[in-house]
Amino acid sequence: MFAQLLVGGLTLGCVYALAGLGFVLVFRTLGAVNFAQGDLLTVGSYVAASIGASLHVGGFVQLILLVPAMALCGVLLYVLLFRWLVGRSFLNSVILTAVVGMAAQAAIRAVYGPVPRSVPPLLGPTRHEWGPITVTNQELLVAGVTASCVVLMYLLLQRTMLGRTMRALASDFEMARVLGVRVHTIGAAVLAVGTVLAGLAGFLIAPTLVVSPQLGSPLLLGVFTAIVVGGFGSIPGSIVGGVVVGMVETLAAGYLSSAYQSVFLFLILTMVLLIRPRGIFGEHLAARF
Amino acid sequence: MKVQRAGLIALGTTLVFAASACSADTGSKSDGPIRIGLLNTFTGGGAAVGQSARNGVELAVDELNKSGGVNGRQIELVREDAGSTPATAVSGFKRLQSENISLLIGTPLTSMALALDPLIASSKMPTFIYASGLSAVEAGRPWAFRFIPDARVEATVPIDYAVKTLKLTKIAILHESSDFGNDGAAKLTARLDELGLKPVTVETNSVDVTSLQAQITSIKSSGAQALMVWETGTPGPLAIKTAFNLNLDIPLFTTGAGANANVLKTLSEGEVSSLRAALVTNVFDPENAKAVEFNKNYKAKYNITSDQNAAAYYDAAYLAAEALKNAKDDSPEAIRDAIAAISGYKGASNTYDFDDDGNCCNLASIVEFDSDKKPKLVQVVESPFK
Repeated sequence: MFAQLLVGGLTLGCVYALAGLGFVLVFRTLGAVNFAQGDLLTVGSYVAASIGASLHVGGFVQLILLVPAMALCGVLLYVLLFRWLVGRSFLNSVILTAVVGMAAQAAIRAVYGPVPRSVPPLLGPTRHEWGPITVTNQELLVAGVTASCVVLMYLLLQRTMLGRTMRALASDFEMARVLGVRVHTIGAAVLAVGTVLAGLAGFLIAPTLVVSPQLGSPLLLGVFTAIVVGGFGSIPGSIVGGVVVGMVETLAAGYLSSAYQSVFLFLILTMVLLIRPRGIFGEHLAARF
Repeated sequence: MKVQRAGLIALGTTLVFAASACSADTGSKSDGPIRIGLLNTFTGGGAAVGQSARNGVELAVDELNKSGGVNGRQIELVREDAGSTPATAVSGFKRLQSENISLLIGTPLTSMALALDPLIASSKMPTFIYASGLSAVEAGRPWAFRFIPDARVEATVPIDYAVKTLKLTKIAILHESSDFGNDGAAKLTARLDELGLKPVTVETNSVDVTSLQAQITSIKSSGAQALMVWETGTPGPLAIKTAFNLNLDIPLFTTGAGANANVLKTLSEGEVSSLRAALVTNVFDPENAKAVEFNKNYKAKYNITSDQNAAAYYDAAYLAAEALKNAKDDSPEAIRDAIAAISGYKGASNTYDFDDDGNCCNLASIVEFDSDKKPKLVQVVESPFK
């Protein structure tokens, strides 16, 4: 049972990590807290399903087409909202992105209807029996794509000019502007990457659950907890925090009580904020706000 | 001239009195359309059930209006969204109160029915409720009428089938943490206890849970031979998906909410292969002529297989029409009394015979699903409860 729970926790943790990575990237670079990240994850699930249904494509073609679709969504979000949030109090972004999340839910409901739907597994419904554990192709894919995204993100931030410019914005937005960096272009790119990561998380998790317009709300709590555990604002922290939170949540539900699964998330969040508010890798929260 | 004028006045006065007398002959019944409220979970986790409910009621209202309405009056349906929480259901009820409705066909959840209870009583609104939790309808709630059998029937039927027919002894329970789920789990456990058994494990989840890996893993480890899935919203199909992914190859029993046609659409052929449903309906009995007709018309109108929810709500609209037809006037008391007097009404879903507590019926069934996810009747059960 322990090994099986670890597999389930790892899958959930990968989803938290991917969405959290996008959240932290936007926070570090633009100073904005994106509480629409959970709903952007839902948008990813629905957009992928739409691509599959309307173009009659599946598998990796769906995945490849999802990336530009979500990137476009991120650029639009930046142009319409986030460029006005740069340099303002983080409370503005909390409130406005929460409104964007609600609007996204309403839009999904208007376009796709309120009835839940399913997304077929990318690599078919194959299950593997490995000793005491059962693993599906989809779970292997979730782990593989998450690992690939982490590597790609590392390469983007450390080895490319775009990444270096993003880090410059994260370091001092105003100074970067004064030095001639096209901050809004880079800002739009940051939000595009953050939105693509949320969309990928939604696309990957969708086949293992039932997709509904309000899917993102409960997942956002897990994503946010993962970010706090990892260290608010820390990119490696969001990945480690995601995996840790996913596993702890699943193990606690399995061994302690399944009735309080979501309560465990609040407990983890509260304990980290009380005992180690800077999380595993992060800065002190008070210093940032 | 004076005589002529006096004659005209007398004639006019006579006509006025005659008109008044004619009006008095029909009591306080008016001639305009009759407005019926439909309060249901059109959005949120229960949207699948809400859509079936709306389909069922709209089909019935269309049929009734085409056949002349009720006592020559057309039926006008006023819909309100109850969301998927008791708070939104209360808001929806309040909006409907201002719509001058004669009666209400209400929500599918026990928690909502309980939240609406004081409003139903204070507004004297004759209300059909679709909540199987025992507490939703009981003595002292004269305005609420349940149009499905209660939770005891829902719980007894699958346990008896698993234990007595399939000869299984290790039964696990997975239920949502809600009035419906908690009540259902208690009834399932009580029935197992009556049969000398205990559940091998009882797992719980919140209604907005996004992962049931832990719960299904625990159930698999418990050595369960059958699983009772007591869920109303998205956790229902999520449980079935997760059980399939974890290769939990045992019979899964769900309720009408879990076997809703919109819910089944979210599951693959493999995922429904081990699914059975304990339904508190007789709508899939080929010997039930009204059900056969309903299923045919439903499929023709919506291009989807009917389900327990759609059939019960279809019947509720016909029960409402029956009560409105027989009520001596338009007053809430008269409509309530007319509902209470309904006896032996054979609908598509059940046979309705309201008792003093507002309970209606006792037919249930076990169904399986073929590769097209169409329900196949296994057995019809006439429960001692209703």
